[in-house]
Amino acid sequence: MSSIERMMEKLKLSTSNGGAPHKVVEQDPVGRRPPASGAIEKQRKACSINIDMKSLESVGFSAPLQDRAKLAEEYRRIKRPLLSNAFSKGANVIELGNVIMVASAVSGEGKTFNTLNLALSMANEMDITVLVVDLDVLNPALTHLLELDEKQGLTDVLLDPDVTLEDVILSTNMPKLKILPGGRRHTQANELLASDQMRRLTHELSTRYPDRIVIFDAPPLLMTSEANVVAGLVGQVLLVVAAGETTQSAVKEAVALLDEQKVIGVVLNKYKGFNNGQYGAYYCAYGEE
Amino acid sequence: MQEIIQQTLNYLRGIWRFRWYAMLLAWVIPIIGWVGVAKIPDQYEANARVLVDTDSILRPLLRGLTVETNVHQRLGLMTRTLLSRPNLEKVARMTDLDLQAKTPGEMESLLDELSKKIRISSARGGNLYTISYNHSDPNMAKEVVRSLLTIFVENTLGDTRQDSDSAQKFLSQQIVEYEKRLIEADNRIKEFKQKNVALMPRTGQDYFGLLQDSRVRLEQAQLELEEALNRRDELRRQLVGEEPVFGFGNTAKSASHPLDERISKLEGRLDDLLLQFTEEHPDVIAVRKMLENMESEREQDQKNPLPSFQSNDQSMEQNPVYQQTKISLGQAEANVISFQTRAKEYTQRIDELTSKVDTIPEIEAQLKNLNRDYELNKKSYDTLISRLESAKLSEKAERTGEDVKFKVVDPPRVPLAPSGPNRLMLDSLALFAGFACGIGLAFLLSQIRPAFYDQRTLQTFVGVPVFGVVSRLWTPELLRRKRLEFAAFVSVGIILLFVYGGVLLLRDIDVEQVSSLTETLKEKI
Repeated sequence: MSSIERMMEKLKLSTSNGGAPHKVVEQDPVGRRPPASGAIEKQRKACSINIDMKSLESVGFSAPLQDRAKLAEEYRRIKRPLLSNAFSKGANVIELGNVIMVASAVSGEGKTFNTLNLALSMANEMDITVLVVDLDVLNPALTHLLELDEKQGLTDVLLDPDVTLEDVILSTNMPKLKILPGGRRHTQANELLASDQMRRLTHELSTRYPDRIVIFDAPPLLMTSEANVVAGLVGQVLLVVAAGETTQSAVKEAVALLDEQKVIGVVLNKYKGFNNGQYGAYYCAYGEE
Repeated sequence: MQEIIQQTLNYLRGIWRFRWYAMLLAWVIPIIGWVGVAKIPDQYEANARVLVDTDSILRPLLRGLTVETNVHQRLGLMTRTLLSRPNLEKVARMTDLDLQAKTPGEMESLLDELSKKIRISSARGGNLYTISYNHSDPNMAKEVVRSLLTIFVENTLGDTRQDSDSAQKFLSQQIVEYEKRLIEADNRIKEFKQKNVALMPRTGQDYFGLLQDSRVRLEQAQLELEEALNRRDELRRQLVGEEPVFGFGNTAKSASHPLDERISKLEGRLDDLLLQFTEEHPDVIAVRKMLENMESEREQDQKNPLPSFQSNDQSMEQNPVYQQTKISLGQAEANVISFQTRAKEYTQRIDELTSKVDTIPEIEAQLKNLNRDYELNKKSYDTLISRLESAKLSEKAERTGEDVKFKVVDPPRVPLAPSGPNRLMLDSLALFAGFACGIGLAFLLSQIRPAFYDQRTLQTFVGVPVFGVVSRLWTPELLRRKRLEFAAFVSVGIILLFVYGGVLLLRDIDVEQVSSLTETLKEKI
């Protein structure tokens, strides 16, 4: 059974815009070693993964070719306000504006899908690098998706002072896209994310490079308490709402949980209408040319 | 328009979201309904039709003579009041239904049920009445209709009789009263007349008419008086002028004697007798003797003649013209006197009338009033009497039974096939109720747990900016699952329709057929 098939089996229950696997072709054969403190040195050199659009598409995390232009255009629309908030200057400057949390009220609304596609879209920008962090330590869908379960990740950095960020951030076949997996499962995930260490880490990620956007793939707001903690760390929150699934009260509750000081935006995911207010046909033709 | 469409679409999407709940209800409700319908016992309907013939021969014959009650109206009222409580109790007693009810409460519900299930309707034209009743026991249905029919006929007849009786009683009372009034009025007139006897106007003439009449008569009398006077004067003048003419012509005939005539008559008779008889006949002898006596008497008279003037007067008297004129004069004199008295009388009368110019008209008016009162009473009295007569006549006419005839067109009979319940309709109703409730439930759920379907509602509801919309991505796997689910949904719905068809088929097959079929199957085995 190929890895793709395995991932598909695993994620069959989750919906398409939300959590399906894909194939990661590892350039380095050493990458599969079990994580151990002794392997850090070696792993540091073997940190590149390949994100294959075809595999993503097969599990519904990227659009089929004919729809790709449309999907791309939809994300262009979404990333524009986020980017302008992230790099705002002067009086409008937002603290930690370049740290964006992709959240949702409940699970299965498409956080991972949106995180990935938003990251891919942003990575296409000329002068931006994107770091995707899988913050959903209890159910690290992104890590699963990219088959990085065995890799060291966020929890390792937080727990082990010997592990540095450079050790765990993975580069991909897209030069401007980096990924930080969830890492080991930990029983005190909540406490870990609430720790000073985490705050410092976020700050470091945010300020290390001025052109970097950090995207957190967060756990659902109403189902876990970690998400609230994380929401306090970021500058912008992108709330994913699944059309026809998420109840209105859940959305309202989720919004109420968030700090009003933060920049909050909503994305209507899984939209099934004919027209979402955009002129897709034009962009579609444009994209294909 | 756009918004309305969007809104409708959102509702539909909401319903579609809870389609499986809807389907569940669409299954559960009809199944419960079908079981319930199967448990309803059969109803049997008994019918009876009565023709109420109001157009008997007697009716047109008696038109105008009798009091015509509106039969249709009466029947209409009758049908409405037929279901009154006493009537229903009567029905219950007649059909022994009351034996089933042991407590007053049960009786109450029994009567309620009766009144609900009994239907009375009149067909076109209004003369044909249908009484029908539903019951699970066909015999009981028939019995109830039969007793209703009896009551219906009885009541319609009895009613008018009572009506008529009371009407007659009323009329009689009124007549007595009017009689009293009439007598009073009569007395008043009598008294009045007695009091004003002198001033009573003559019948047919009022005061002014009388006055006018008297005046005309007076004029006429005066004219006649004048005529009579002239005539008398003329006659008198003629008579004075005539006297000399008569006296002079009569003196020559003074020798004539009163006996001359008789003598000549007797001589004539003697001649006649001599033609038949001889001289010796006693008659001849008697006549000759009489003649001799008379002649001797005449000779004696001629020796002592009467004075001459006497003879002159006598000759005047014997003149017929003179005598005629004299008689006329006498008449004229009498006329003059009579006309004079007449004129005097009329003048007196006019004077009298004029002197009473104030009192008479008033009395007349009073009398007229009294008379009018009397007439009025009399008229009412007469009418009442005639009405009473016609009331009596119509009652008699009704007694003959010719007025309203009841013909039972369809006598009530024991129905063979059940008339209800309409299982086909009820089954279908259950199915539709299931669908409707399912859709209703889905809608309710979608309203209880509303989701977002478009950007606009999301934006307005959440109040934070919507950065964008991501369309649903359909992977082949997802599409396959979606289609599978849809197919499953549709087929579950179709199966429900098949079950419905099966239920309808089962209803059509008789219970007996089924039992006989199973018996034959057992035998074969």
